[in-house]
Amino acid sequence: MGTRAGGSSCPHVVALKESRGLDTFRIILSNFVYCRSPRARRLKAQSCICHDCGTTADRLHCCLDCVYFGCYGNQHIQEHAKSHRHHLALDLSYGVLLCGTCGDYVYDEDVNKVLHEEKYRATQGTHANGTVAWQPSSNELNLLQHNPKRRKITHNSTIGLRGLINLGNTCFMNCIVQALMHTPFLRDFFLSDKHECLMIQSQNHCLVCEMSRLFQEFYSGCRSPHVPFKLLHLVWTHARHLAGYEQQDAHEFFIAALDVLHRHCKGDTDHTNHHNPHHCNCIIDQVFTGGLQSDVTCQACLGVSTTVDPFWDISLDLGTHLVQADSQDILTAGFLTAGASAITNGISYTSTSLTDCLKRFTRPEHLGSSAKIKCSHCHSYQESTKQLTMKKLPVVACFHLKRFEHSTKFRRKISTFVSFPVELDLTPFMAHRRNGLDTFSISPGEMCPTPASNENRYSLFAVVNHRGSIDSGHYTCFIRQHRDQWFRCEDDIITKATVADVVNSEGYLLFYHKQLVEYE
Amino acid sequence: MSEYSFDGSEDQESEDCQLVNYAPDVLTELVDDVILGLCFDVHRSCKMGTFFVDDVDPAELKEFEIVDQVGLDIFGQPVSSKKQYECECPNCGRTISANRFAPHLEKCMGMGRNSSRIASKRLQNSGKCESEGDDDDDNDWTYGEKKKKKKSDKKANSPRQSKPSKSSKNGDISSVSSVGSEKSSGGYVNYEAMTIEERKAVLKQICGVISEHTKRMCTRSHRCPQHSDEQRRQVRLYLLGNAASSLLDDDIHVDIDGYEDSPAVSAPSSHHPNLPKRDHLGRFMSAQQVAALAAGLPWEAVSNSPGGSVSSMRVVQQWETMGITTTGPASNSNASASASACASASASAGASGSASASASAPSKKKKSKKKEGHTHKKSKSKNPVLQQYDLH
Repeated sequence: MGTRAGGSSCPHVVALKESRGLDTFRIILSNFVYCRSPRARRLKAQSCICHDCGTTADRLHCCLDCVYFGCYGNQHIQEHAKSHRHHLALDLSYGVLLCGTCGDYVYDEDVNKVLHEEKYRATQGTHANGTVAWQPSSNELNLLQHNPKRRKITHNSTIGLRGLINLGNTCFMNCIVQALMHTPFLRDFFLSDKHECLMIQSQNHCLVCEMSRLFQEFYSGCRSPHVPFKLLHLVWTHARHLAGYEQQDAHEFFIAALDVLHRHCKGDTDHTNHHNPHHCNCIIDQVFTGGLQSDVTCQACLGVSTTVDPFWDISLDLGTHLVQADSQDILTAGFLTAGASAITNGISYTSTSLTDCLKRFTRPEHLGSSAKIKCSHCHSYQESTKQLTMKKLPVVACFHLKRFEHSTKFRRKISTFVSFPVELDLTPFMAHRRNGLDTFSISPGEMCPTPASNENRYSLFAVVNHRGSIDSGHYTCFIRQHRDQWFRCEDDIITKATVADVVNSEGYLLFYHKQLVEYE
Repeated sequence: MSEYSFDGSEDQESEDCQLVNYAPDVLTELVDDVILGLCFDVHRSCKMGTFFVDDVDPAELKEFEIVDQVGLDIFGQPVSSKKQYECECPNCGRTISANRFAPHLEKCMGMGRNSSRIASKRLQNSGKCESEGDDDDDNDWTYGEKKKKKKSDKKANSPRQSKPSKSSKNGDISSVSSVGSEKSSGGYVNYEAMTIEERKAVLKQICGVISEHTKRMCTRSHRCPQHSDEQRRQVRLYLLGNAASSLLDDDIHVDIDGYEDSPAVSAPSSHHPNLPKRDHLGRFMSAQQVAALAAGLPWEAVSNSPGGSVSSMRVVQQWETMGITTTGPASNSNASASASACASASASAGASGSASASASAPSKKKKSKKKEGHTHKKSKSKNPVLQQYDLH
């Protein structure tokens, strides 16, 4: 068994290459191993059978010198090699060359190259479009050999986790940054160095580049917390309405950050098109942008007028059923003390769940007689109902629970418990199911069956929580790493947490990631 | 797999039953296939010499292991460690403690309440028309404020305060901004290096008295309480020499930007000799007041000069030529009240109602036109107040 890089071709392979080349090899591969078309696959299914014993399993091989298929388990291919002096055979599952005379599978660089090409071609047009496993090149092998110390991100590794220093009331920013750093899609995008900066004139001011640098910081293995001063400066420069040293809303920051990132992805040269989400293909839009369908149904003629608007997040009302009416309304800031009693005696709603909120969000509502709309079908002013449903689901869905109420009389925080699941199916809230129907008045048996909708299943991966009152408070977050481990991030302190901790927390911003992402 | 055949007469259920029988075979084949693939991968990497690629140093693994103990974070560091971190400010380059970075940056970028942004902007614009610099800023602040307020009204779900107190931040020219001794860009004046013209321009806007300790000029307004008018005069004499006297005459006259492009207003052109002069606050002044200023008298003396009724009548006349009606025979206090309301556009308490509003309308319109590129109607409509608010 040779161990030098470059393979250990047996002399028979060398002889084959010199005499006939690898064309036969390639033909067999493309017809019987890595089939490119359904017709080829059918042919393979029909003809791959051992000529001696008739089995279709058991590691079939194809001889390279004649038309013979033989199985390995019953020694037929080995016997064929001996008796006919046909040394080389090809495994029909993976295309690996078996040298009957040498008695082992052999590998050769050129042979590997052909294998790789055929494999790649076979994936075209399928869901695995063009993806093949990485094989190190000789350069890379050299490097790896000379640098034996390696870091591997195992399930128990801290690499990828890092604290963020609070720069002075910047906990809201830290939480959003943590959530973005643990978005798998974004992580893969930035770590594979896919960002090409288009901000030619002011590359120092590109927020996307700064994000890329942040990923590098997080995956550097450094254990001291990172000081995101540059990020703060950039955000304040580009989102002026957020600038200023005071406590801010994490949700507002999230939207502003996405907006700046989206703009910077397009570069600083083209200003005309910066708000055209339908035509944008930047990473932010690929990950966060969804489509919200709004259907207005005229009550007279039942004509529906539909519009689809892009969204980055869904803000959900918590409900309108008051529980306590005895305590005073919490008035403006002057009234509110920092004590906890002021909060607990406040008004709260009946505890609810995320699905309840979503149901409420997507239920048809009467617009009332004061808001009559001119129907384009019957051309008259009629009362109408409006319904919001999700037309296009984003890869990352962010749900914003409206816990802060600003009405004319008072401002308050609603601390109702909202339960949210770790796995969420958004199928019931999608457009094709819901149009014009209040699905919950129809019994489940009547609903038309839909195909298994795995594509609408989402997994929770980040939760941002707010603790405190409407005027002052502190943000912390839970993030998910290594598949099923949760961590609590409070500025620069990161500790391990359990799923129970996460699900029992109050919840303000909930981030869900699509489970199955399709290649386009 | 053994061969099978379909007998057409059999039931669908029986066929399904037959197929179900083959399910374990199918599964076994699939599993075998996958295992074979894995074996080949390992075999290949061994033979090709790439098997070592996956190796990891166990010591490294240990080093990066997650710690799960009470009182420690995942890196094994105690939770209550009070380590101080520092960073370099991208704006001014100073090294700041990380926990205090945000408030520092706010001041450094000139966004806070007490930052010297307005003052430094004023200084930067000293080469151009002064009122542009001043009022643009004020308007900038006001406009931005209104925009911000609207934003927070729409965004009815943030814990942020709606900050009604911010209106006091509006560009009151007489508001006290911090002394420009902070080392932010353009925050302090290097008068030594300036030419006479530059010094003139600068001194038109700021108090300018040079502090003995820091040798720097005071960047507050002319009404700065810390320094007297005598000190201001002396500084001008010192810095401008013989040109000082002309400075005192000329700088009083501040361009009224509203004049140029409001044709409906029957205002005299800017070259008209009878153009009413305004003081630094934009208030109209009588001839006596102008003379008093030239003599170097302080502002208070000037505005309360004798012959008040005559001067106020003059003021009223001037207003009427502009097409602005005042409420009747103006007493001294009335005239100055309405005049001062006219001056600080944003801080108008609505004392003289339409008079002040319409007077400020031309200036506001022009500014917003310049800044925002609005194509609003130039004609002075019957309701200038409404038109002004429409723009917002």
